[in-house]
Amino acid sequence: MPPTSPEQEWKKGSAELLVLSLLEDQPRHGYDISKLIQIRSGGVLRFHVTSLYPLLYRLEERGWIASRWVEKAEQRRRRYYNLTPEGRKVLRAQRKSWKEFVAAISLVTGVENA
Amino acid sequence: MHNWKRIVQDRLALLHLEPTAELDLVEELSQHLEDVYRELRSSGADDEEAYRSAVSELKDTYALRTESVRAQRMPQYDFVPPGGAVQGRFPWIGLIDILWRDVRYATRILRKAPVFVLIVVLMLGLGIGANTTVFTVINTLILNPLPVPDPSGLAAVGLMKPGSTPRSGAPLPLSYADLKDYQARNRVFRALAGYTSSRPVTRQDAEISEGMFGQLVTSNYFSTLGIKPVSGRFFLPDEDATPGAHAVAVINYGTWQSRFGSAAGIIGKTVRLNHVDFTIIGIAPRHFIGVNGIFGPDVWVPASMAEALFPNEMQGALSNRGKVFFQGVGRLNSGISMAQAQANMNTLAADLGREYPAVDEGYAAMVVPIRDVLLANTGGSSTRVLAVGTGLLIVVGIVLLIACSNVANLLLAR
Repeated sequence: MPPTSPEQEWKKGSAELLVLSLLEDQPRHGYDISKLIQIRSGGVLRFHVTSLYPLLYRLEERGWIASRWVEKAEQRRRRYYNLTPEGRKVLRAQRKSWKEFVAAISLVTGVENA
Repeated sequence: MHNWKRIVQDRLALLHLEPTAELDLVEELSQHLEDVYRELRSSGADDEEAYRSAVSELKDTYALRTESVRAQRMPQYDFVPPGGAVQGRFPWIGLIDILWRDVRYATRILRKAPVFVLIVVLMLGLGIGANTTVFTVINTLILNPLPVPDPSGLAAVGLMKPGSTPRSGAPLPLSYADLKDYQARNRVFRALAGYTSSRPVTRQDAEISEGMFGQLVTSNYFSTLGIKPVSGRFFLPDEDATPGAHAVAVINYGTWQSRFGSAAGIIGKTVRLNHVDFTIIGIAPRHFIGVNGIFGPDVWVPASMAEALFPNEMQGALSNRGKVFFQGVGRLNSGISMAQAQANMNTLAADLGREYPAVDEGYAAMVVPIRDVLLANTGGSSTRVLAVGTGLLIVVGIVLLIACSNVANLLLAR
């Protein structure tokens, strides 16, 4: 297998993989997603709104996630994003691709934990 | 408190996004910035610092435009109770909400530019109106000219000067007495009826006096055409036997609706026409306006009422063979062609010419398909009307296209 294939996938899909993973368990709004990425990456990964929302719209355009405005009593309405069945499939594929990439890097560099 | 919506709006203004997409985006981003700001404030940052950090999120708004343009579609809405699931149980509520927002948005836009709206409505209105009018005329004249059963079995019967076909394409009228002779002597028509042109009459009421159009017809007129009344009955054979004896009338369906307000109990009521009281006995079928392409009478009365209804004009019309008021319409016997009917009627015309040389000599009979005379009153043959109608339809079609392109240009210019 050419080493470029999983790498290309990784480059293109890493940001997508992050968002799809966070939506796997429950629907979340944009701020929630950006906050979780920041917290769970220990502050290493961070999205500006001008990167995050275009990404969300792109994923929605592809049909991997769906969004709805939700109004709850005594709260401002918010747009929640959730994973579609197609998005779930993509998430599985991207996880697999990511693992392959990490394994390839480990083999080449001798780094055990990428 | 910072107006986050305004801040986001100002940043997005230069992107010229589609208004609905922009509203959506502004709401979502302003919430995000507000969340960032609040969190920074609660973690100890001062207002200036928190504000700057929140606003710095908005750098490179161009990416927003690229994706927003691609994702310009209507947002979906859900209303859920506190703690409820995100997916709505009543998606149609969202649809109604979207529709309502659309209506409000359209109303706002229209209200902002009333002159523009007026111009657009006028342009489209004129284009559509012209098309509708012309198509209605074409439909009436050409596609569905005479709403009676088997119109191809009907022939227009009248006279002509040998060697010169009348310019209108319709035969010259007959006198009532001649018509009666043709009725009695012909062997080609199952039924032969007569009718005059529509003539103005005055309807007198307790409160009003209004102009209407009336047509005198022989008692077998409606049965010859093969139609049935929607209410009441048509004329009986003896109702045009004795002059002035039967003041009965059949009214046009459209007239019944417009002048009599579709009154249910109209049958048996009296209508006063030219100072003569007529009893309404029936209502003609919808869309039937007589043997006419465009313009028909409001009321039909028996031919026997000619002198009573039009004392001056029709004096002697029922007996004087020199007074020609009636067009003939005949229902051909089965198996009889127009040519055979023409031949038989020519023989009769020659007979009458010999019997009444003073008035009938020098005329030949004329028998033509009924569709050829439907347009005679409008002053044209069916071929000419068809050509003119088709031409008009093309012209108004082009007018509508021009109107549409003008509206499109106006929208583009805006």
